[in-house]
Amino acid sequence: MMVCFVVPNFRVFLHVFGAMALVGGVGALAVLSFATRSRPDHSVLLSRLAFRTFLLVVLPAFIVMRVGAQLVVDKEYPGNAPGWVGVGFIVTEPGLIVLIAIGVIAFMSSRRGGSGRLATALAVLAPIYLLALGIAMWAMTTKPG
Amino acid sequence: MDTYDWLLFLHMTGAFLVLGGAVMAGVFNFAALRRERPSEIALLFKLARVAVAAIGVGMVLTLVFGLALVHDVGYGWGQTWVVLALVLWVVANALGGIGGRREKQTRQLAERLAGEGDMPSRELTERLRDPVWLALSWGSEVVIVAILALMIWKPGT
Repeated sequence: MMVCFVVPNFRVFLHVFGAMALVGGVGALAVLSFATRSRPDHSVLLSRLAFRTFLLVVLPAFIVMRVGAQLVVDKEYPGNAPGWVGVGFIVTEPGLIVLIAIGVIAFMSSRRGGSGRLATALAVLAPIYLLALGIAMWAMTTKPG
Repeated sequence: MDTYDWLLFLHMTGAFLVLGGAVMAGVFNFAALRRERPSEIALLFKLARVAVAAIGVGMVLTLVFGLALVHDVGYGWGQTWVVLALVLWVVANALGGIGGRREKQTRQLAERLAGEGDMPSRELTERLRDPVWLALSWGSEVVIVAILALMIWKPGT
């Protein structure tokens, strides 16, 4: 925590870096899930890689982004967060349910070798979550209201 | 939304494409390093082209709308963080460009080997673990993170 006080804007860096890594991780997951469907000859490899990407990139990035967000809100807006901050929380908190669903589906899909409807579900959910992250990015950047 | 909001939103979209693309490329390149079958390596490098496209579009957006923001907000063109960010932008592009050419050659080799029996090849493994390529590839990603830190810290303002 000391680094928060030594490096200027470290909280914002943590939040933005986590968000960008999260977008990259979910983007990789989306690409892998499409490829799992279109390349059945490599579906075992691709579905396993999708689950590992979820575990090793998406989840840690989400935690870094969310912890960074809380540190920024606690410092900048103690007790009176503006409306646009709420958009971010709407994406991260109910969005966490979607993220957990993505993780469970990625796990089950990798166990079944990437075949069947699970790969399709992943190919639908990952871009939807990516879109939600895009909306949160718009709200964080333009701060409507 | 006023002009500043639009410029910032488009600049940030570019930054998300660059860093998100770098993370995606990292996922595919790291996975390729751990494989031996040429067809698998070729496929992973083919998927990495999506990341390369995202980085390319993002690099253009960050530069164009970043310069527009400097003009719109009235930051000085000679400020340390502006100059450093532009220098690092060029460095990241140079490293990524050279690394990308080597990556393309490796993908082409993997595709050729996949068509000739798809057996593990020492030549392909050596190319994948070539320290120069690894340094270029990971180096450009470190530079991109450094640009992000500069944008947030803005030393000299």
